[in-house]
Amino acid sequence: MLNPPLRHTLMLTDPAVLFENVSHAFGAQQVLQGVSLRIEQGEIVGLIGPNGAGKSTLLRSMVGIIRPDHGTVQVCGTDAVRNALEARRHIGYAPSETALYHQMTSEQLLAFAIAFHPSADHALGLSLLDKLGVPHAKRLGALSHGMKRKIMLVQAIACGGPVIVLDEPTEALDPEARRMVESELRSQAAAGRAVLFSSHDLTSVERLCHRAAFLRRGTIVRAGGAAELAAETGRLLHLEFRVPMDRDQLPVHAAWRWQGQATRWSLHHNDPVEKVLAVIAELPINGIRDGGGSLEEVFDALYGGDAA
Amino acid sequence: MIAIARQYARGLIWLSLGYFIILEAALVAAIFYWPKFRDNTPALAKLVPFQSLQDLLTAVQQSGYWPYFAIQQWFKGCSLFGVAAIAFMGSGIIAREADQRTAEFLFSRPVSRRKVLRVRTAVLSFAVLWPVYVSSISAIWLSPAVDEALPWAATLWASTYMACFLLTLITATVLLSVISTHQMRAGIIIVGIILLSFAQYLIQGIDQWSLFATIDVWTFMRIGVGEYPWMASGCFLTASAAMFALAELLLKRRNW
Repeated sequence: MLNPPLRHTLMLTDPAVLFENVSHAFGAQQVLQGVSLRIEQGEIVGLIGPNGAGKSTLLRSMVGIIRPDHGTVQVCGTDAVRNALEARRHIGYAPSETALYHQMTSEQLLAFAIAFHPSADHALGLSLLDKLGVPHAKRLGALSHGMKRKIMLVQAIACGGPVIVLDEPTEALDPEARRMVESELRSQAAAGRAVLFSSHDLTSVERLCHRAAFLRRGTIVRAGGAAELAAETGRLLHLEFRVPMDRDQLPVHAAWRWQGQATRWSLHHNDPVEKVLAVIAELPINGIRDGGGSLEEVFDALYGGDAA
Repeated sequence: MIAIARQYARGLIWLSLGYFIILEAALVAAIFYWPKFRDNTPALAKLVPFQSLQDLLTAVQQSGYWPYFAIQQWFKGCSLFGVAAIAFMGSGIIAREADQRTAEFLFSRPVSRRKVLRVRTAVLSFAVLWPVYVSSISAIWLSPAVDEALPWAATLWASTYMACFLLTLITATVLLSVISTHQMRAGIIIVGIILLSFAQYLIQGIDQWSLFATIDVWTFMRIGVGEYPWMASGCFLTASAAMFALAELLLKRRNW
């Protein structure tokens, strides 16, 4: 549950986080272009995109690490650009970088990280360290990358603010730790805290998030619930051929898109499956698998061209 | 504020103690070497190749223990060891965060960059300056062992003047650290400036423009007779304030 002082600062109608037309450039490189996104209290939102899409930059604009060139960022009604210090009091932030002060122990780092937050919960932090199997008294320099990742997550949660912002939170975590973290984030969201995180782990995003937002070259190209996004993206079939196939041997339709090579191809389409099967029936097919409506399929559909 | 101070001090405690021990050991050795030095000063003055160093020895020859002590403790000990200590401890005040990629973690906390810089600079200044005072005061008690006496007031005023000089170097290092991405770079620049300045002090004709001219034996001899160099101290403090203000401004604008 949110601590009383912060609970009182939040109006029920306020979004936890509001990005409006946020743009930022590093020199000549435009990293964010007119990003708008609203995250409600108690909502978990995942930011998805390939490397360089602008995910980390967007998260950094919330905590004053970068100042956006244009647009507004609000955290619990506070302008995070003009009043960065106040906005940061509402945010528990874990950067993607796990480099930490090597001479400190995990317990000392936790105490230092949350010392500036008015609603920090030190006891919660210690219990989460225990739960995730992080030794309290060991120096950070002697801990693995995964352990440091856990400490970063714990301090972000233990800060106690109404917004938790995590950059690549499940990177380097083993499956059990990942499940624990997901479960903890779910219960934090259930207590009214908003969670915004970036990730390349699409299955994790799908399991955890109420909504996902896809960033491409600094712009949000798609946002919504996993099922809704998959429905919008269309259907996908994975095909395995008996012999290697060239693109010009595959049937062409206006709304069809083939991806793959040799004997393995994927087909993005919007037609009824029966109609598609009737068209491809004459091809030397060894096997067909329905791609389903996963975020991975949405990702492939959105960024397939980028990879090519 | 306490959390920032504690976190930063944790990395400085042993360095500061080490600096004090070196300063104190050099001072004790110098004090107990004094009787032998006093007897051989005329011969030593003839051996020294640089005019500026010959002048220092002439001052010792004429005025005795106070200029000798000033050279050993402040001109040599505090300035050279102090610069080394500042380079070791201060160059990383901000640059280390960039170097070790902890800047994003630190500056995403709800604490202003200005406060971080102020608290850390205060801790750094304390770590560099307390050994100057403690070792100088210890000399007041040690000097009777070689049949000499150091006046309390002059010793404290001289230490304060030295502290003003070192504070200028501290803020210069802080400024360099704020604009650097590598701790080593800031440290090397400040040590380089001091070495160049010392080399300049040894060249007659341009020696009066060296930083070391502001802390040479003549300055401390004036302090010894009650003439505190207020103007020079004011210049040190003004320069420190200006460099620190610039460092704050640059840190505020820096993206990570």
